[in-house]
Amino acid sequence: MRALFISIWPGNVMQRDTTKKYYIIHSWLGVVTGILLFIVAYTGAFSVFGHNELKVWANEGVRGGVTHDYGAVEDLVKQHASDVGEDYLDHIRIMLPGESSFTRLQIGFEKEVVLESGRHEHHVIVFSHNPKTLALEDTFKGSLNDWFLNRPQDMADFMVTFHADLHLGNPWGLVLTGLLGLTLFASVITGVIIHRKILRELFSFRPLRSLRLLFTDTHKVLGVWGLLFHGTIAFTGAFLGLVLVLLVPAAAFVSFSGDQEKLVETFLPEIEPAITGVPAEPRPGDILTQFRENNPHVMLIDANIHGWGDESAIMAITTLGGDTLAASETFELSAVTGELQKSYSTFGKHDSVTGVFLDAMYPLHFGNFGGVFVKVIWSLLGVGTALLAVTGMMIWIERRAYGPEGNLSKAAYHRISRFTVGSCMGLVVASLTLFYSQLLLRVDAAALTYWLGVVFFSSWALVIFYALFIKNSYQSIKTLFLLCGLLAVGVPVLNAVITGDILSLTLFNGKTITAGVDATLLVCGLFCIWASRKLPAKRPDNDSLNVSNRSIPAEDVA
Amino acid sequence: MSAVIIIFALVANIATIVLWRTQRSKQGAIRLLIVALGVIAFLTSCVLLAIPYAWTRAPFIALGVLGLSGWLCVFGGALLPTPKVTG
Repeated sequence: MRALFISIWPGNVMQRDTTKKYYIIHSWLGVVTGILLFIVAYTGAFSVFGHNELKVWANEGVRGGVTHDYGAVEDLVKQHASDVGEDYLDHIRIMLPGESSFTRLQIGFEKEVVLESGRHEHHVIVFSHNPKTLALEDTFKGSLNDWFLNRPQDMADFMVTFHADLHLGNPWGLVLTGLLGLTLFASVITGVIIHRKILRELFSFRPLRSLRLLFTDTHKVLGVWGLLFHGTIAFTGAFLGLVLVLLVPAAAFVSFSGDQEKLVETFLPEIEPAITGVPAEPRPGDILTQFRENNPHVMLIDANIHGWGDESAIMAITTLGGDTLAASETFELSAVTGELQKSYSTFGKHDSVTGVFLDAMYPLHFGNFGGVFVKVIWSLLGVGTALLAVTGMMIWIERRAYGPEGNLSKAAYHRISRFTVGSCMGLVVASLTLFYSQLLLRVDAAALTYWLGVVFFSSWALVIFYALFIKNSYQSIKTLFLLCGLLAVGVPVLNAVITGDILSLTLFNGKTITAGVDATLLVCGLFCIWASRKLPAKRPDNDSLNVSNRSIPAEDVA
Repeated sequence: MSAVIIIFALVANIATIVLWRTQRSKQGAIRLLIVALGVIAFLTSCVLLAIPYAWTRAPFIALGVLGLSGWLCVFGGALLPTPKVTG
């Protein structure tokens, strides 16, 4: 009687109604964006290693590390500086290979030109050298935008770009991924609200009771233990996706009368040497050597020289991996004496809380602020976010195909289930084909991205068709796990055949990154093969949901 | 060194979570002790991780390690063989 009284008490009824509303929001947000969330989260887990682990693996030239002879680099800079002419010496950029996204030593000379329309455009001459022999390989002359758009890319760039904008470009791709971040954030919040027994169910995992409980428990455990990570990834992802497309224009509109350039100038550091007209010889080689000696543990990304040939010339060295949470830190030194003038992070110009907050966005999203072990943690947690999305989808389908909810036929839910399986497993297969494409495709560097896309999307589409065609999803999952396993195990083998980097040798000859990638694929591949053998080929007869959809207490699935 | 500290933090977190899991039916002082141990394990992780990673980054890594430890305990625990009940 007391229980009945409590249950119909107006406060409790209202709370139950509110929870139910949040539950509906949570489930529909999940089902509408579930597959896309899986795609973004899975590619995110992959992209954590995009720069520079996969970059190094994909480019034989930088495997085994690159030892920089900064003296030789200085000679090249001076030689090119005398060739390009005075007007290209405003800004010289030295891009060092092997440490982040550059695979060749690139020396760029930049000038600003005013177009007939009155707009400003940056023109560059970029010399690309072999990372080890320093032999000149090619020269680019044109606009900065063209250079950026036509730069050679590889599988690492392909995956990182796919994660950032799904290859839909700016603005649509960025808006879509930004909105997905927001929906994930909303799902996290609504998930916490509807999850009333959050602490009690921290350890509930009953994989053998029924398929629905397996999905439900996995979803809850992944969600609750990774709650802060999912929230962080969602928030930072939404910010990074929407910042360029919506936030910057909106902030410029509100505070700078729509002048976005002014807003960027206000917040981002701009290097402007006070030119004196007194000539002086810049010493980039000595300065880089000294800087490397003083900072042995940071990654040197590039060095930018402003005011070349003047005694006030500044050399700004961009680094990764210092003591700050910021994605990168820039050190401004005199390009002549090497004296440190100041150092700052990307948004550290104003030394405010906002700057710290903005600086933290990128590293917290990509986990690139603490070396490879932090990346491993971030990647594993990212796989958890992907599984969170797919288990949520499967719960939604299970409840409708085998439970009392849903208005469509059972066959329709099975089709949705098969499509989900094909989309998710297909992405894993497609991502593995990128390794094969990178090793086997012998096409022009500029055309590689196109062909990577052809192989990637074709294999993905094939798997979706396969999963839709096979009526038994259990069988298709089993087969696709086996396929993933074989593909992953095959990568180190093919790598050994094509490049000669046999795993057992790379472990000991300094090519640790190559060895790490190969070994990871081998372990993941063996796991997939093992999982394929363990997975059932059909829905278990004793699955409680097959017997009766009432056999699970309501509170177990709520 | 960073690898050793991360593994140490992972083990410390897992140990605390296992203790919590096995003793969670307990009440009173033991429950308080477990909560205190959990907090101490997390703070120790932060302090240790701050050595190679600096204080600005250590709490985020510690939170990541905590999440991973929870998954390892729950999913790993399910893989362990359970004694069969006879009779």
